[in-house]
Amino acid sequence: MKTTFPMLIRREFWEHKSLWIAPLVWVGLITLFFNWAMLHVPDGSGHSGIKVDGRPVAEMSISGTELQHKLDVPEERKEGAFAVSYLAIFGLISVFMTIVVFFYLIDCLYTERKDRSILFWKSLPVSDTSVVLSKLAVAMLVVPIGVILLTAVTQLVNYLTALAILHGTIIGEIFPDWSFGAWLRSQAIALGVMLGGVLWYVPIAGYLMLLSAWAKNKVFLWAILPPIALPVLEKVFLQSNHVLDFLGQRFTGYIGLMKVDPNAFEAGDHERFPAVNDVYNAFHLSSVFTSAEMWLGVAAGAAMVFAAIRIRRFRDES
Amino acid sequence: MTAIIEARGLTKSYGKTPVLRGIDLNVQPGRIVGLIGPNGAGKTTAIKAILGLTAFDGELKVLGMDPRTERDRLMEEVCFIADVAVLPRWMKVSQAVEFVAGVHPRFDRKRAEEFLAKTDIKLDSRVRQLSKGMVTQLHLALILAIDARLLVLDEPTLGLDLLFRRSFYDNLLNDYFDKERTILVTTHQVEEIENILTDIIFIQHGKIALDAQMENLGERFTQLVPTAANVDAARALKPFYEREVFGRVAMLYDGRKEAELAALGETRAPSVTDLFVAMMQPAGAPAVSSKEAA
Repeated sequence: MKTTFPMLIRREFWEHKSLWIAPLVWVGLITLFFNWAMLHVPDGSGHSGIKVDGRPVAEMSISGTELQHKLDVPEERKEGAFAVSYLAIFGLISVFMTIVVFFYLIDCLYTERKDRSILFWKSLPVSDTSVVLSKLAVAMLVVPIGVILLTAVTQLVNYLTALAILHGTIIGEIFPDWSFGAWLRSQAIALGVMLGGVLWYVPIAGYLMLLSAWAKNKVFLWAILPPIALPVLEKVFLQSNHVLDFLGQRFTGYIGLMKVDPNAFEAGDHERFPAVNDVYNAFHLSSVFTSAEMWLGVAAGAAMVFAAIRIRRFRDES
Repeated sequence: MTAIIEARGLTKSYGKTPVLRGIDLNVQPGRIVGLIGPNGAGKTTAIKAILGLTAFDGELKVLGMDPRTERDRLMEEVCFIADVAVLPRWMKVSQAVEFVAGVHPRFDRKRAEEFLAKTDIKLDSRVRQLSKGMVTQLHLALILAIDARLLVLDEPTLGLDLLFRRSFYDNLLNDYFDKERTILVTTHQVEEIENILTDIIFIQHGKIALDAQMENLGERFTQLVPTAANVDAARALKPFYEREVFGRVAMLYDGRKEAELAALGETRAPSVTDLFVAMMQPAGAPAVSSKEAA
């Protein structure tokens, strides 16, 4: 048996160029914006974006030491800032890629039917199971790994450029040092959040693939109309909200499942940054992986992927 | 020798419309079989059944495998060109070669590249930039490089100009076909392929109207243009088809000795096109249902 899976994965990136072009453009924008913001941080003589006690730093007429004392930040708070910036980049890329993957999934089994190229794919000795699973793997494995790696690279680039830009300025003095520990820990958290997220959203991915394999046309409408129309219909005719509650839980329940504590990201009364341990402890990943609700969703997702395979295998495209 | 395709009672309906009404097939290795019929006769459905692309009733073995349950293995030894439009338009020529090389255990990449080098197709072109004829050439290049036992072509030259059609079939014969391989080709343009076929199968209204080897056609079928005095005598011999050409009547016979007919007028062997026209006549003309023991 020849291993065809890597080739099937490559094929997806040939066809769906947005899977790799869009994130590169996105991190480019993030980097541009971040560096633009850095350039507008005070350089000691010029204009200022950062304020201390409500006054712009540039307008303060106090000595450097005094200012430094005012700005003095404990190490754990600096690490906290480091971790938050890491996770913020991770969040920005993840949310963006969720949208990209949404469009990929509704398209992945639909376009080949629309342009009839499915007859070419099916003329080759590749099983429908391999094809459908390769597409699922792109969405739920390859892209997530890419997000993790891209986060690491983006954070490194932005850290280094910020360091260069702020070098010799007052802000540069309090800029967090590179913390290998915080770097590693942040990646571990990103990885965990990603893994839980992938598992949590498998049923939605399965639903989109099923639609993509099944819909005769207008697959985008099929993807978004039922989740909007069903709760409305239920409300109008039954005056209840079960569907809405269910869907709401499916879309946003993951955040609740992690029991993310938003206060952890806020600085204390007299601090500028959150403490690093508060940031780490804000995520409760163990409760994600022990959630029956999540594993039920995984089972439902698997069933829908299986249905998509059967449809691709037995559907008669005439 | 084991048959490449063996079908018994192949039946298929779309809703209440029957498309295949009990088709029997026996295709031997090393043959070039033309599955010929008008549009809507069931050609494509029969092909889809053979390729495991549609559900059906009846018995069917292709290379000894059941296309319904063993499709993945079957496709290692069967190649298929549906029609010119099915290569994905976003794909680069180089990617098409790369992909087939990556998934097909019997693909000879060098061969495909050699074939492409002889054409005007550039490796970094996208399929959407190629002319219809070039897309077919590309598809052919991929197929010719696959060491398959059965090649199925469904209207492969539809919409191509004459030069491409001619070179398509020339390439097929020169670079692909040999005694081990079998080609099944459907078309509704009989004259195009009649000189390359070894067997013909006429299909009409989901039934086989004729299944014969080309070399036996001349022996079996005779066309007679009787002299004016002999027209009634000729009719008495029960032609299955007659038509008037320039005031004279041409009649087609199945299974009459040529010598017997020659006494009544001018005889010749009918072309496949003649037979096709005769047998595909709508109701009224007696349809000849004939099977030949191969």
